[in-house]
Amino acid sequence: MNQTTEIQAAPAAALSPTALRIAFVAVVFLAFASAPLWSGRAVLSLAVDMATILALAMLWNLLAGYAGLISMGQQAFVGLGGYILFGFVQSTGLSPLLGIPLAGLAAALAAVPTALLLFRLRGPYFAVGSWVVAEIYLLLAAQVTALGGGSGTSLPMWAVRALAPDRDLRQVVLYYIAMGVVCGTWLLTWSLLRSRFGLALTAIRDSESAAASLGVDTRRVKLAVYILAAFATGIIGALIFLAKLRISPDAAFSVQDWTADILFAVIIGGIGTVEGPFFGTAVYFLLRWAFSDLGSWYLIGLGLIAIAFMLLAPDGLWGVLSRRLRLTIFPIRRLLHSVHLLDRA
Amino acid sequence: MSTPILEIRGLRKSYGALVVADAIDLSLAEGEAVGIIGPNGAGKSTLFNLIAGEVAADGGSIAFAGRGITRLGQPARTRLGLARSYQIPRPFADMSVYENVLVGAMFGAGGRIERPAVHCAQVLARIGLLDKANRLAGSLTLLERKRLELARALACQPRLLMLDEIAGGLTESEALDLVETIKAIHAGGTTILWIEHVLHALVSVVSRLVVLSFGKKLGDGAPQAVLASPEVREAYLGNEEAVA
Repeated sequence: MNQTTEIQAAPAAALSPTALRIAFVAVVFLAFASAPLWSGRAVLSLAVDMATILALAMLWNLLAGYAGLISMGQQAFVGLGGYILFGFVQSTGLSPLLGIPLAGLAAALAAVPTALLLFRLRGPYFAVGSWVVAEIYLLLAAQVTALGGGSGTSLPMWAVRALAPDRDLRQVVLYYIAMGVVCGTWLLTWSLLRSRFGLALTAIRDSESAAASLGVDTRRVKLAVYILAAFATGIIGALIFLAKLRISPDAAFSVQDWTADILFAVIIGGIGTVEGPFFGTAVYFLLRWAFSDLGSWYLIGLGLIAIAFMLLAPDGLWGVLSRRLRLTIFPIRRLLHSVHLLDRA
Repeated sequence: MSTPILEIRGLRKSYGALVVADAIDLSLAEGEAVGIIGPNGAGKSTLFNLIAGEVAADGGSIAFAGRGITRLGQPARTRLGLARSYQIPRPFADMSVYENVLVGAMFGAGGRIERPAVHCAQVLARIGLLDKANRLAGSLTLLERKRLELARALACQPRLLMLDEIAGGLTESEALDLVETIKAIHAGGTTILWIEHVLHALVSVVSRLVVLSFGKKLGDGAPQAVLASPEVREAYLGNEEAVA
């Protein structure tokens, strides 16, 4: 496969032989798929939390790390997804499961006018603007009296039962949905980055002006990524509030929970890398588990750690690791093989 | 006479009170090689940015092969066949050399290339970067980065290639190598518009020189005639060594 006789080897070698990889993936898959058999409700609930944060981190990484869209307003789509789900259940009387894809579609739809407005802004103005727009979403949600206005509402009992007859089983259902969502998000981002579209995105990450000069329609690529990320973020939002069984404007459109913490995970993991969000999310939950009792000191600590990473290791934990160990877990690099040279005749 | 590959009429651009392009007219026939010279701040790079579409003009018109492109965005202009290199190289540092060139082949060529990988291998071989194909662009030396700028632009299969001080900062022998490469590209039928301070490198390729000063065209014609004209000598060639 790697017949790079005339060409120097790639800087990052693949992790391991194919067979070992497949075995590893199979073991991981079985461990996660069988989790409801060997773990309790608390573990499954934590897994849902982690899956949603990881999925949000992957999406924010795609936006900020690749497309150069430093959005501080992704909570707009998390909240919108949640509210669409609750509104759908209340107005149609159908199973909440059907509302989940609808939440994604609604978020994607809302992303179009939002983007038309925000894409007039550049860099830091875009960041601030996206936050302001998310606050407007919050204020609008608080106006919806049918969904409890400013104080929010709970999922009706019948809808909760429609999900599963008891608490334990409900947690299992939520767990599998969350695994589906996080795997889907990962497959989406990874296959996107490996495609022609991903080549354009990666080029924009490294130099937007050079990408435009080489024929990449940067505006269109960024718009597509923004809408796609909103779609997935809306779905994740629906899942988050389906798990919480309750929604309110402040919880749904929280900049702290759905953007600031996500940003933290992406930065310490390694922004603009496929692997970064995994490492960042792991560190984030480790810190939360160890220090969240400290209240606001915990948040100050998170901020300090993020700043330290930005100053000392701007490419994050994964950036440092992959440089030291010269490896990559999810390769997206395209290699020029000697096969291409034989064709020259 | 056939349609010019590039036809600029009354092109204007100012930043506040500073006029950087003052009613510039310029016409390039297909297959020509034209050099642009002028003192620092004369508006050379601005003219490139206007032609490439990186900066919008305040007035005037630009036509490419008979088609008005004044309102067209930069990516669309590149896909039509108008590619450029940057004075300060802008490599995609965390992508490989091959991937850098692939962006041009896949997007800049406007879908004209059937087998991008093969095309990229050919371009890299021609520019002398093939052995570095799978290296990260961020690890290249200055000369290699300049070559990469050229390779990426060539991968777009341009009809008009715009080079912005591609020989600047290189050693004598490096510049000579680059000149040979550019001569070969020109011999292949590509029109060349080249901004350069390294005059002898420029004059060995181009058959026509355009002089810019304070956003105005000061001269346009055969290199020796242009360099000999008194206004040009006064405005630009205060440094006598450049004439020799």
